[in-house]
Amino acid sequence: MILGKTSAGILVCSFTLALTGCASSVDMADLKAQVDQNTMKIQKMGQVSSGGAGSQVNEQLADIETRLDHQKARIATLRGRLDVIDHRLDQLMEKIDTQDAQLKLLNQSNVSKPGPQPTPGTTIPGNVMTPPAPVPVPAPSASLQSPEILYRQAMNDYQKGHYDLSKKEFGEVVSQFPGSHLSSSAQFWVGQSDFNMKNFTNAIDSYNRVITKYQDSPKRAIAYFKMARAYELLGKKKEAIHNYRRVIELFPLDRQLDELAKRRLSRLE
Amino acid sequence: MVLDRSSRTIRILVPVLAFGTIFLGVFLAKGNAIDLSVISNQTALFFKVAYVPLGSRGLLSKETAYASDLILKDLRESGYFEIEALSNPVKKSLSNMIVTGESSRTLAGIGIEGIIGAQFIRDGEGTHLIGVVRDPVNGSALLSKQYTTSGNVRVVVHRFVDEIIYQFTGFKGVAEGKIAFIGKNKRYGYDLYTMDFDGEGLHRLTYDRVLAYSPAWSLGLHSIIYTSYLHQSPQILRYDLTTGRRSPLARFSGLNITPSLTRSGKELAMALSKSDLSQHTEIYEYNFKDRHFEQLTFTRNNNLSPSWSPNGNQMAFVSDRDGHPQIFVMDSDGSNIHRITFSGFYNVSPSWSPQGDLIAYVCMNENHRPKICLTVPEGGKHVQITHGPGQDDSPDWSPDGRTLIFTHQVKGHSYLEKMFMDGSHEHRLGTFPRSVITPVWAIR
Repeated sequence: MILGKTSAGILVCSFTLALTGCASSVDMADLKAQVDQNTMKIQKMGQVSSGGAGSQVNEQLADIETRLDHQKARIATLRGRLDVIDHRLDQLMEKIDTQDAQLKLLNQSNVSKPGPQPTPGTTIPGNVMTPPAPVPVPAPSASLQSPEILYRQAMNDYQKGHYDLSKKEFGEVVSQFPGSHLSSSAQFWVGQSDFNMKNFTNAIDSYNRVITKYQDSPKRAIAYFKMARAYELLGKKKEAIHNYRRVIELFPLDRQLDELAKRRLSRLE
Repeated sequence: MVLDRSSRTIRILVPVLAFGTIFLGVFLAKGNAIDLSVISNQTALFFKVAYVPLGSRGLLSKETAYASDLILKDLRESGYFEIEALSNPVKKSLSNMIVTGESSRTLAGIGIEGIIGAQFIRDGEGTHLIGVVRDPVNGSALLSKQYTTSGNVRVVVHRFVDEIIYQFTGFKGVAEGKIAFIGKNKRYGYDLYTMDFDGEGLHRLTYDRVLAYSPAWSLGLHSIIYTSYLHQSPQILRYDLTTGRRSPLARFSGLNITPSLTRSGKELAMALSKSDLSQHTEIYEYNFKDRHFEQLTFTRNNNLSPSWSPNGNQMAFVSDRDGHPQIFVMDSDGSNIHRITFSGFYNVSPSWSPQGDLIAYVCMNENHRPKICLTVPEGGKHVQITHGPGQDDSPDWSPDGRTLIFTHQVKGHSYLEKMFMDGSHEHRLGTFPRSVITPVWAIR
């Protein structure tokens, strides 16, 4: 049954990805290569035209610039589509997690069911008929909640500024659902909750766990940056510089974080 | 990582594309909605009260009637109260309710939860409102206070009603709230205006007759900060409400637009293009204390319309980095950026609710008309709360987070509208005769 549900989830997940028809990493890489090629051409032509070449070169230059702009626009659109796909994928992963949690709940309730009971109304010789005992229904505990529900609740508390509560709830996602796709993000938000409460040492510990425990986490780059911020706010300049440098070294393609880290570094160094 | 995942799977699953499209369309349409019952419950607090005018001294009867009507209007406008009409003999029996609560106990049997009385007095010191609220069950005074103003009687009425709301609900009322907006002039151009929460008390602040928009108002700062074309290009100006003077806050070359203040009024976020020839704007934070501009985004796309979260730790903003304008959220240091709108190709003008759990924004409906939507700060779920003809724009939350004001444009004319956040009780606010753009509540 578990296999059936999970495979259904994966199938749904696959449908989402199938929708991506026009946006893949290969497409993006191709486009980026084209942009780079055109940029090179423009630079070359710029050099030629400055050397006194005629209007034909200028026309070519203008044409390539237009094509470059088009390609940049296409890249932006593709990036947008990838964001949408990523978001849909997250939604589907959440759905799968929820289904898994429901299955766990069902399995546990099956296990906790008592053995065969006498059918109500039948009399056992020598005994007085007693009313059937109610089957114990397990109360939904935190451990049987889906990680998605817990995560959402934690995020809601985080957004309302109830950081103590959100730290506890994100922590529960990490401890009770270590295999969930949300656990690395939850660990990051534990750190964020501490960061906002100015518990920078605890925040550093959480960010460090994101980096060391979850090698594939989408939050690794930001965890490095936030760790550096926390060190900076603690006055530990050396550690802050080290972590800002790690952001620049390890995630050079994350332009936003790269720039932010460079700016912070220039102030600290 | 996403790229690898998607590209691998695409190659395997292309044949199921068609079926997947239909299935997922249905699936996602169901999954993308905010539970409105949660929202509407917040506006479902309702108290049955009665109002008794207790006469006046030194005021014209017209003024007294106006003040009494204003109390009733403010109570209704709050959405918390149902006003029970009392017969004249009952009102007469309650005429000494300021002194004693004995007679008010007679109303306990008809389900009234509070009896509100107000007396107005004008003397050399100004206008006084003696307000009392009695509990019909035991006749005790829930509220008994004198309010004084040297100005308009509206001031004391709004203060009294705010305290009544606090007494009944435990939430601060917004009757003392103020709204700033840019209004179109009779002949040409636009100017900065303010008005009370109910649309009354209209006050024109500038006489520039130039395009202006996006005011941001912090009561603590005693200033309204807005974008103005007074010096040809858009600059961010600060209007000092005490002196009436203006000073430029951001006047870099290019665009200086969409200022947004934190609740503390200590930081200002805005979009600046600086010397970028393509006029792409980036989000900057300005700290009033050290007068430093900190760049927060670095995309070479358009990043604008920042809106701070209530605690100032995050901000929502618009960016077209993905090809179309969408709403993103980031931490106040520029890190941790994530997109929160995924439906449609045009989502702009975010406004973060005072409770922090919702973001109102402008989305496109199925007829490609701008409407008001709500989403949560982590993104994904959304709900459209305005419907019907016309174009809605520039949503902004009331300080209590229960209502939204926005502009509603029909046939080229833009009105100011107000509604509860569940989309109910939508009505036109104020009587400004010409077009209104970018209204905002003052942050208290």
